[in-house]
Amino acid sequence: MSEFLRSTLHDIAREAVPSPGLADDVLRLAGRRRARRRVLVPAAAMAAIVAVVLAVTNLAQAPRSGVVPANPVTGPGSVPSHVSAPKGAVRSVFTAPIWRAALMYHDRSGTPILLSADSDEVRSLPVHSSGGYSGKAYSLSPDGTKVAYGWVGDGVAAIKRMPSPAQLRIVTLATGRTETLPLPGRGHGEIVDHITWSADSTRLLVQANVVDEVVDNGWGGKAECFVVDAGTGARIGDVDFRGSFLGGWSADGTRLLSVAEAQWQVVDTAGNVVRNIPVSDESDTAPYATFGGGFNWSPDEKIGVLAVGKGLPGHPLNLYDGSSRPFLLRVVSLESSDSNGNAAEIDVPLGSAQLAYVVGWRDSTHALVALWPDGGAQRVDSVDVHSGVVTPAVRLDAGISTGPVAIAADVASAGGFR
Amino acid sequence: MRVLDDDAEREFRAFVHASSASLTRTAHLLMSDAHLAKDLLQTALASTALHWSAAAERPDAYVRKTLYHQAISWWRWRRRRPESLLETVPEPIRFSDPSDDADRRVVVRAALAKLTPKQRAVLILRYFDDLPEREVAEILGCSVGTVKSQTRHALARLRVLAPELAGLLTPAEVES
Repeated sequence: MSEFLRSTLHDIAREAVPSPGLADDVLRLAGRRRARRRVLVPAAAMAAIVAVVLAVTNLAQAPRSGVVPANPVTGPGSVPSHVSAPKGAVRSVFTAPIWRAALMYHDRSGTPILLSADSDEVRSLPVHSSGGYSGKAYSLSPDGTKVAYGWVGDGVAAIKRMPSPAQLRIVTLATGRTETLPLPGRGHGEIVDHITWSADSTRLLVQANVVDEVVDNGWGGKAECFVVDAGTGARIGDVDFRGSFLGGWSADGTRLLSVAEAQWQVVDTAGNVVRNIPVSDESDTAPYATFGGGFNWSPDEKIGVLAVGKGLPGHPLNLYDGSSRPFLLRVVSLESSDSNGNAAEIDVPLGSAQLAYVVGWRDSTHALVALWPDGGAQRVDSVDVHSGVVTPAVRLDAGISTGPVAIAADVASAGGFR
Repeated sequence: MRVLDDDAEREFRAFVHASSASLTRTAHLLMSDAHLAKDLLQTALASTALHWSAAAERPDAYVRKTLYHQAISWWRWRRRRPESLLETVPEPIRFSDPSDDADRRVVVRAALAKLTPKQRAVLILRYFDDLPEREVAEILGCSVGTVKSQTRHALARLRVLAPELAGLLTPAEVES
């Protein structure tokens, strides 16, 4: 035992002075939290009951392990029964009529690939970053014609040691033409965290991390958000970030949905707040958007969904220790609210998972959520955001059950790759 | 909105009054920023008030457990998701005279801030709160073996970050 360390810690601690009125402050804070939760609890209890009933039902109807459906084909707008693929993770899910596919990245080589939802066909895209960036931010445009991704010349590992060239790249899949936007960052460089396409595929919302501090097992930095013209690669506007996490575009491309610590907000593309939407508990909102990468609003703009980890009661998912934790899908009505002005919410239990990610929508009532449940295999569930009913949209491919399996859902691409 | 009935509120206020100095110090050590430390403590105490019926038996243990977990949560949120281990060691923190109390506090404080939250929590629980390894493991929700290894790694890391402390943190202590 170190007397030196003990005495120094006590010396440092003596610098702290208790706040006068601490008990009053705390009781006021607790009162506000209880008021928010009163709305949530009945709805969550109902959702939990429904989910348990459905889980039992689905378990009874689930196929036996090892049984793989033969070449299933489903029509546009519906959900395919399965697709198998190399190890990786689904990043984008869209519905389009040409070649229904999911964009994923191969987590070993860094090459993004498209998975057909109608067969086991896999297409590699000509956008591999030789710098070693694993393509965390690859994103397919809704019309299936372009892929945008963050590129770091010396690789993500190198960004901790030195300033590294970084770019946003937008590739037109039919021609291979690439538009690039330099990301100068500060200090150690800049890393793209999320890319969200506008519905008409003409603009991108980019959330990037300006790395200005290296820590022992990662880095720190400040996030910035900006809008990019997908045709030219030009940065056409900055979004006032305010420490929030920005999600989907409105259908008309004029507004964005933002999740802050204790509320959701609708902001315009300059970051001006159009509307505040108070939610029940700040401990269940913002941090998880970055880990899960998943929150979005419905095409009709009436519902917002966010994947929420529940590692411990009141605490976030621990993604780093490899343990599985229950996940929730938080569903917030953007139109209705209670008498206190809080948005109407339900929590849909998604069961035990290492990660949940809101990947898209079947329609305005059904969100598609990618899950990494116990065992590491991936699946996509369809969630009725009004009733909380969870339906397994895509079954696991029994042929690849030992590692992360990419599952394509209701998606598309224009094809024509070179 | 009232959270507690009259009797429970009296108990809670008495607990806060008796423990605020100690809890404030722990929060101060956990967070390098004074405002964050204040927010952390208020958050932990609010959670304790909301669960007072369960916490009343051992409120100090309850609030301390919440403090440590919340501190780790906040750190993760701010730092974003770590990608991999750093390949190079950060520049060591320099100070002029290790025997000077003020210098010593500055260096230890800066070095603590560069530890992972769990390493920092382990050191504070072991050397500030003076808790045995079993209780540390219970609070952090890990095994005793993890507490031992985290302690060893944290002390070794302190020696790297502040070489001047190496003579004060002897190898025997680091290995213990």
